[in-house]
Amino acid sequence: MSDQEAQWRRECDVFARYLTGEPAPPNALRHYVRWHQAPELHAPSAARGTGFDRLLVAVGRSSWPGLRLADAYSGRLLRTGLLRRKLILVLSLLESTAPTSGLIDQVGSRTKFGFWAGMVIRAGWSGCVFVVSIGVLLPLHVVCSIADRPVEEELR
Amino acid sequence: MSKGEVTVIGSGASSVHFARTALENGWSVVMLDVGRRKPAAVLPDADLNGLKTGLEDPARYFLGEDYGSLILPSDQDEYYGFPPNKAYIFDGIDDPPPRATGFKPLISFAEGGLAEAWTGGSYPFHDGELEGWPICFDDLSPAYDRVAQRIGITGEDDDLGKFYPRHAGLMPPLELDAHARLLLDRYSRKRELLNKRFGCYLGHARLAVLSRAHAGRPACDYLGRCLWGCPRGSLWVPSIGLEELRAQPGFTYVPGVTVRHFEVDDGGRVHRIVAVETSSGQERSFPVERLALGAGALMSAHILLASWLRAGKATPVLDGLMDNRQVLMPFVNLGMVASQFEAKSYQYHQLAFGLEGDTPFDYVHGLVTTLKTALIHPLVQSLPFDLLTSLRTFRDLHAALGLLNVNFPDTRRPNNTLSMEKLDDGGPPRLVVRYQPEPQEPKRIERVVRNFRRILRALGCLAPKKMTHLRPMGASVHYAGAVPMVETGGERTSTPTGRARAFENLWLIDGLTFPSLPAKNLTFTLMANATRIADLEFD
Repeated sequence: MSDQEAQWRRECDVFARYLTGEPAPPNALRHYVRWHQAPELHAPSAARGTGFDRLLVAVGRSSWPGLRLADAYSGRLLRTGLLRRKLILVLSLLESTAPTSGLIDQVGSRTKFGFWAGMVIRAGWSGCVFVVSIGVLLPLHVVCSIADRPVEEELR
Repeated sequence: MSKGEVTVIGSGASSVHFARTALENGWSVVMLDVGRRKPAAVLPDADLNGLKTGLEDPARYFLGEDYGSLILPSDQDEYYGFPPNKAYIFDGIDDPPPRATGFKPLISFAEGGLAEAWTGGSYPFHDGELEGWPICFDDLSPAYDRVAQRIGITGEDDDLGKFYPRHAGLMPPLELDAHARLLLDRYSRKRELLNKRFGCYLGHARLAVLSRAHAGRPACDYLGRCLWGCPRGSLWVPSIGLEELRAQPGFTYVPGVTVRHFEVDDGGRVHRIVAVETSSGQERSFPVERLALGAGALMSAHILLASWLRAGKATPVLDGLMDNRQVLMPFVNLGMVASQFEAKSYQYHQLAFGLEGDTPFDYVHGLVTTLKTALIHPLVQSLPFDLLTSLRTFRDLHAALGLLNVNFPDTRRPNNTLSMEKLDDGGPPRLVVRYQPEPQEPKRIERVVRNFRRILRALGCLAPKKMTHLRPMGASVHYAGAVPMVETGGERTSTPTGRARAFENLWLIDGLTFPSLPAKNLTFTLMANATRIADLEFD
């Protein structure tokens, strides 16, 4: 197994634990690697991204808190970015494969009141994390955008 | 002893019922078809979760070899990806695909055609919807009965009965899931308000799905795999009809050929079909006594136009192409939040809305699907949060989610055309499709969507405005028009019994001859009309 493949497997596992609390099933790991290895299966840009995209993925891969911040940031400001695309790829693999598909289907709230209370708490918490993520990641985003510009112009 | 031979092009819903009726009436039938075969059903007794645990590579099954069902944020334009095991339905051939403006045409070369991907909605047209047709419900009624008895249709004579004329062979409805039961229960409490204020009615959908065993097919056992193709044959699709035909003496199926055009003798009769073998490209010809064109409105038009072009007609054009505009309205049934969703239930629409219009033809048809086993990642990503919050929220909402598919009628208009263009490479000509919606369409859609949003609110549901999705023309795959059946007309029309006026021995048995397109799914009427034509012309 190459270093790159090992990194993709680790990435998939971290993302799976983040979304479901459980490790990625072998079937999901295999497909996650395969998707990355075969650019003909997707638009080439879908697996590359900008410098900041790659930084966000690296932050996300590093730890749960890092991923929480990176997800909060990309969930509002980079909705088509690389990290979000990778997370959605992992989600699609987890929902297609047992036993994680069962976890994804599990209802969290037991009552309607619990749902609405949970919604308020979740939305509030999500907002707080987003504010923190702006403080941490927005400066990096600006720096990376400036650093990326010559490359983008060259490509153009 | 056969009364004669009729050659049918295509194996879709119209063709199999035409062929079956002609066979029953003593004719022999040759069916030419590209005929891409569907893959065998995997683990046919497993429910959806059983597939996820029982398949060796479930991710490949659900997302596809090339991840075609994976919807990433950058390419999201629908709420669910097409199941990979149904991709064969839309696999193309080597010929150039149509060039379209204002229209996204879908063409099938599969055994059974486009209806292999249908959702089973079987709704007869009433006289108000058949206004402008040279036939009325009474002309179609015996054929509706016959088709319903062949394929098995479930439903109930409830409030929607005022829009659905009666036909024989109606089976009891399928079991509703908790979501649909709740909607129907709330409707019954608000019936008067909804009927009077909005002209809105809710009831059981009419479906070509068996609620009891019929004609050698088992009743629906609620495996929850409808989207991936019913593995038991409880949901009728044309390939089931084709299998039945293949067991009949007098029926010959010729798959693997793409019909290019037909040739006409000096007397104006079609005498030969020119086709190519799909695998080798080698030309083949088939002598013809009588020809029934049932390749689907677009491909039938293609063959007709190509034949005219070969015969030296200058750039022939057919006008009046129609399709049902569809608007998707996702909604949340607040009474179902924090409930566990039921995977083991019928997955397509269990309920239907009828919305009265200014005239009977203006009726708007709504299909209610309570989202369950479709892949959820396209929906989760559309929530306005980070993915973790979206997923946690989605889990509690899953059983509460629904999708209202609103269907609008269409009429023939001269600027919606089908024509041919020759290509520089000397290959076969290409179909050109042009479509423009009527100018007042946006206002009409806005009004109807606003009403449906209010109706859903009255039923305890929220339909977020931002998630309402206008599907492109062509997406409903209810193509019709272009060679309308009329009492009297020129060579680009057909007789009320489907005979093309341009050619003495050519019958048009698909939607090409529909003079207008009501909002309801046309497939049941396609089958009934093809049966009617066979009964009248091939008695």
